[in-house]
Amino acid sequence: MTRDDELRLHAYLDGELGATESVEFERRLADDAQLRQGLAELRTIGERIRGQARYHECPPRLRDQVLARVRREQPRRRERFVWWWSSLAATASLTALAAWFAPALIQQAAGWEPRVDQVLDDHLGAQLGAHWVDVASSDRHTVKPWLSSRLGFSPAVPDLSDQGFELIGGRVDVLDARPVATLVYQRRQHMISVFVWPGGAGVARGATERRGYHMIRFAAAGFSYWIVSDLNENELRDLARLLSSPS
Amino acid sequence: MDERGRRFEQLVVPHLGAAFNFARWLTRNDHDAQDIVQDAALRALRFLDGLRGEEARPWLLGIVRNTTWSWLRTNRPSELTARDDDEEPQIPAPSSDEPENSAIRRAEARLLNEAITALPPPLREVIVLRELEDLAYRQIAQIAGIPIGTVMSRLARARRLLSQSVKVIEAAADRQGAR
Repeated sequence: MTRDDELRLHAYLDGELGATESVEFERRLADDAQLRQGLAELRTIGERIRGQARYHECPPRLRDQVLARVRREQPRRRERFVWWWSSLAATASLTALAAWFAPALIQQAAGWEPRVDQVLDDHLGAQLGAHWVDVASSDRHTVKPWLSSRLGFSPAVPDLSDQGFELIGGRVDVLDARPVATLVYQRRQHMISVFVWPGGAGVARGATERRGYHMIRFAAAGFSYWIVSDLNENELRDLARLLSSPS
Repeated sequence: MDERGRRFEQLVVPHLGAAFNFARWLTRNDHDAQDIVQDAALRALRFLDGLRGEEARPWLLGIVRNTTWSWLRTNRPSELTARDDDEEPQIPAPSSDEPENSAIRRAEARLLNEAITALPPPLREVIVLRELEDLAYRQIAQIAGIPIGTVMSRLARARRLLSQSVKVIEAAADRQGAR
């Protein structure tokens, strides 16, 4: 069984395949005894884990202790709150971020760089789950505000349809514990993930190939980019050029 | 108690059980898990204004996860230095005195729990979040701060390891039954 098929089995069982992928996968299951056996084994272990893994009960005392500490915290709250916000205001780009990410972000150092395998994994995850976008729109005036309202930064979302790259939409991803904007373009049958985050001074342009996917790293206009796709490298370089040139 | 305290009781307190179970699985002991839940709860109180629209349980579990990871980094760095996709972790073998038939079920459950405990933390956390908390890949990705593709490959690896250990247990039980 290929690695992709193995991951698809898990995603299918977990109800995480897209609707089209699901139908397609069921068709393959009907024809493939090895896949069916894999599915049966997975079902067994899944039931075993859910049935037998221990759910550790919260000691009642802990609930009381937490509530007691929260009550003690109340009078000092305003003071702490002011301190917290003023420290945040110092790093203005952080203030607009959702609290989801606030605990992780405060620990972030400058010059952050996601690992290459995380970038590729994210693209592959979107592909297997057929979940390319959180906001589906070919209108950049829809995608851009959607992203900036969730991220606290506002990446350029150029319309490149005249150049043969159709905008499909955008999503918010987490790479190495940090949120990034992901623009999704399509050329012919190839989907392209464009990961964008602020920063990137001094980043050298580079390209690499992993597991048959081309990846290009560059920076432009104060943003860092990774582009990932199974599209050929030349056309992907064209996209990188288009994204780097001021529109 | 002011407005924020009331919100905390409404939104956060119902999920302290999930917070404790998650921290307990990651730290593998009651005492440390309790300390972590207390710290995480205070951080949740501080960040409470930011909780809008998202579900409170995955949101709280994200805070518990970050708190636990900092704690592990300080107190048990060795557990985190082993790269999770390098060598296979040791699966506990069934004890040599084979269980009585009537006790096999209990023994199975015990060994399965030991096998989960033996997983490295990055694999253990995705299993707990998926199988015990029933969270979607997307929520797990946000909590653990990893891409969905990594959630998928870690889940697959964790289940493969647990499946192997279950087979070992079953083989032992079959031998018992055949006698």
